[in-house]
Amino acid sequence: MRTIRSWRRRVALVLLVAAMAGSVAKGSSPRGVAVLYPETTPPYRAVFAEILSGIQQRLAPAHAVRSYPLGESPETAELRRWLDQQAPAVVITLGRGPTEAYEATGRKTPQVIGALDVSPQTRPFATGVGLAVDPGLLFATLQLLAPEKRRVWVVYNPDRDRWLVERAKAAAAALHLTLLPLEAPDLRTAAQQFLYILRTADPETDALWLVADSGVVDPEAILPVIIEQSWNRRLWVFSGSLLHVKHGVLFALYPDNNRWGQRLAELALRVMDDPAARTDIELLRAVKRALNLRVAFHLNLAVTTEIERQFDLVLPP
Amino acid sequence: MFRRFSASSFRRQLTQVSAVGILVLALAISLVTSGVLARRLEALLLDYLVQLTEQLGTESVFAFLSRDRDVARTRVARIQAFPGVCQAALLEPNAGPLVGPSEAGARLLAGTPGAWRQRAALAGEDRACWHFAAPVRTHPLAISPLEARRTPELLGYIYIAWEKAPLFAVRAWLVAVSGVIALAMAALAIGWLQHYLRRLTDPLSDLAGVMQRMRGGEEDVRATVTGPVEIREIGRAFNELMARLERHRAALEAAVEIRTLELREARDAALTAARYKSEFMAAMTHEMRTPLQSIIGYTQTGQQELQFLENEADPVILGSLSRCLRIVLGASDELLSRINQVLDLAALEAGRREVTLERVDLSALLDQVVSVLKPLAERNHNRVEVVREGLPQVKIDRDKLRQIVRNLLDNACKFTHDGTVRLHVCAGNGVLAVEVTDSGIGIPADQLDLIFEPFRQVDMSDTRRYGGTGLGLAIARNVCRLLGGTLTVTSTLGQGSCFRVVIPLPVAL
Repeated sequence: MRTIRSWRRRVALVLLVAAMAGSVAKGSSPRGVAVLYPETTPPYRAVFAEILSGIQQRLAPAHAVRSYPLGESPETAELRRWLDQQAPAVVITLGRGPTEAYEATGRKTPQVIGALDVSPQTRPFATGVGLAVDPGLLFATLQLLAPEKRRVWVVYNPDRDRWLVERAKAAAAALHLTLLPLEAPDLRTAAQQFLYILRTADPETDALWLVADSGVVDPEAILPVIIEQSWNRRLWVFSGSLLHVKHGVLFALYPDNNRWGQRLAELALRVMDDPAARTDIELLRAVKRALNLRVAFHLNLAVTTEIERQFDLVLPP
Repeated sequence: MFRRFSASSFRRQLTQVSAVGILVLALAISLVTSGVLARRLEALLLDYLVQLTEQLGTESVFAFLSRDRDVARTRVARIQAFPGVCQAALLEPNAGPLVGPSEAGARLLAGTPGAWRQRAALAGEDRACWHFAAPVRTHPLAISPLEARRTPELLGYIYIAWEKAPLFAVRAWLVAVSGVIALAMAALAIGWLQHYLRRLTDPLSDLAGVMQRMRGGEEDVRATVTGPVEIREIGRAFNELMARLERHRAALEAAVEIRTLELREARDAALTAARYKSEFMAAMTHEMRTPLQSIIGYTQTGQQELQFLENEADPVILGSLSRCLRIVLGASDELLSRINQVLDLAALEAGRREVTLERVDLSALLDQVVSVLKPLAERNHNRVEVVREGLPQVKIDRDKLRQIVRNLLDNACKFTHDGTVRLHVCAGNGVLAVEVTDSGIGIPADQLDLIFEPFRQVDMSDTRRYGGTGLGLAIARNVCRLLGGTLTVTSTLGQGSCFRVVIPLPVAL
């Protein structure tokens, strides 16, 4: 409860500062940035507050930042009126609801998407930062902990994350790792592929990488089986989701929400300066590291103080 | 049974009725409570099993997704290892078996359409199990706002049969525990009630005991005034009543004592008077008999001297003198006889008569008596019949037997005219019976007892037709009693009387 209040204060403060900055900017420049974010419940409320804070840090006071909270069923006409009234140069949409709501208005204002599991494949011409963590950072962390690992298994949805796998292959090669990607266009195939990996992977040399796609790594259906089987076989599993670490994955790189917001603000500025110069959906590089000590101990991983310092969050055994 | 119950004490009846009532009430409450609790428990258990089935279905998504038999079997085995699960199966979307007993799908299909196709629900039940089923879908939970929207996909159904036995055991335990608690509470209540009833009824029992003592004759009893107000009132009323009774009894006893003293004085006076009377009569008759004896003696002497003058005096004068002397002698004999009777009665009443037993020839005695009374019988033109039966001799007081027979014959001859007087004597079989029957005037029924009183006759008018003192029957009855016998009479007015004497033999002295 105390955390909720704290986050409420922070959101209110951010919104107040944004409003003040907006009013100042309105006087000097009409080219402001509108941020649409969902009105949601904890723990997601804190995520969006931190992203908003990052955006604000990067844009204010040079640019006016207008934020607009959207509920479960936002009124498109009302949102359109608000956008007409604000006339922003760029709209940053955070999360699924605001993104869909903005697209429903049919406005042509440049859009930067954030805090959503988008990929260049699903949105070829979109600008933003998705949930997919840069595999190079993941593999580097893996090598930090276990240099002996040589192969990394991954199950992915080819309709969504082929681009990610291509980049992962390059990153793995750079680190002398072999990526073993298995395609899973649906959840059934994903389950069968994971079952195959869990039965055939060599715990001595192999590790399993879980992408941040609940369409592949279903947190209720598939993740518990992966956790259980990998625990039994002492197979290393790492992920791009903090939730996975909490469930029993060895380590994960998860979004640094503030920096994520700053990166979204930078993209917004870039779009603002040159609306034609759009970039694809970027990999998430603004990340923090989390380590599950219980799993580490189970895997006989010697976690030194030096290693612990490399992680932002260490879950106690 | 009911009679015994009705005859038992107030406290026992009250205790038994209350105990039965409390027991029935306690058992009813126990049964109702355990029934309600069991129903509530069953409802909660069913809700819990619905949630558990849904949860187990969610956890079984991987088994559906992987389509791997080993994974599915392991999953079913895990579910079946769950406490209370008697059967489990994973079913295809068409309810065909993926893993598990094939009859599970058939059993569920038999119950279609059911709520279990939309959500976890009870699909059916039998005596031993509840059959739950739930649809298994992908992404059953809320999607995070960071993810793209996905449509849940139906993967199949999970079927779980849960045992009812634990519920039955809990239900039986509930019934037993509530029954034990109810009985314990009932026992406590009955104990308390008995204790309270004892306090309530003890004063009543004490009061009843006091009344019982009073009925047994104990005096000066008082109830202890205690207990409830009504019983205290009864106790006070009883004590007040007892006080009144004692006052009345004291007054009555005083009055009785006074009356007893008066009666004693009256009795003493009467006895004294009777004694004086007897003494007076004895003295008077004795004094009368002495000159009468002189009269008789001199009259007899005069008759003897007249015989010596038979040849010397005028025969007419001599005849006249001789007749006069005879009359004087006869009157004197009569007077002497009556005086003797008075003397006899006085002696009898004074208890001074002695009994002298001797062998008595009954025939001689009867002849003597009849001959004495013959003149009286002839004078009234009566015929005297004598019948004797049995023993010729008996051991008895001769004079007293003669006195009895004579008085009865004298009485019969006196009140019979131109009739028959019959004397019947029978001795034997331990008794001497004398019966005198006449055909005289008879005795009214209301005077049958009076005739045995002294100086009483049937005709007590101033102009009595019959002479005598009225002592004959009184003397006869007293003599009979002296000999240990009885004298009774039966009579019909105008037809005659029958006097019957019965004297047990031998005569007791």
